[in-house]
Amino acid sequence: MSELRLTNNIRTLRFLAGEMSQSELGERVGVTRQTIAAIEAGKYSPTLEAAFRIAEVFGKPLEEVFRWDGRREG
Amino acid sequence: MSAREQFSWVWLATLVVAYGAYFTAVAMLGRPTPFLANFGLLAAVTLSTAAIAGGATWLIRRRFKGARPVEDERDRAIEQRSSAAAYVVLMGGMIVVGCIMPFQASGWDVVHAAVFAIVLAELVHHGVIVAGYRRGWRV
Repeated sequence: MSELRLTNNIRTLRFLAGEMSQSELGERVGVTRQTIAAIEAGKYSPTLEAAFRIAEVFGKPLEEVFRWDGRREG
Repeated sequence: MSAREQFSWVWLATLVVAYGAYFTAVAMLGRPTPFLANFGLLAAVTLSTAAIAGGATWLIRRRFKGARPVEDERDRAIEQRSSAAAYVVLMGGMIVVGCIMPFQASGWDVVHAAVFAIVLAELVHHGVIVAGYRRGWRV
């Protein structure tokens, strides 16, 4: 069964944004710190709205924050 | 660990211990099943489950300094999936208890089957929640 992969650069972008904490990013996006951690770890795929809000916080287009790695055989 | 996950771990442990002991005791009571003994056991296990889970919930909320834990999209998505899974289990159990068992059994056997179906649905509910937080959630 193929597995869909959505990866992200959120950890790197947080560091570049003055070492923003997960809590702070979560507050600005409207989700909990645990959800930000899960997104970074690839354990949770955010809703489209949350993804756009994260990109907006960093001032980047969506495709620079999230990456679609296509189908992998799993 | 989020508060919601902690609640579910507490409920899982409480249900397994309390109702595991209950069904073991019921099996040891023998047939015909004495009404008062059974009723007393069921009442005791239900009240103790509520007390343990309620006390643990209070402790978890106190840990969050009295504030209601914030529920975001991930919490709602996991809750939705777990409720859907539990609903299927509960419906299946109630069909067996309500539509099949009356022709095969009666009395406390039907009651025990109904209680088991409810407990199983709750185990599935909280198990899916824990799995959603531990293993991750993908649509």
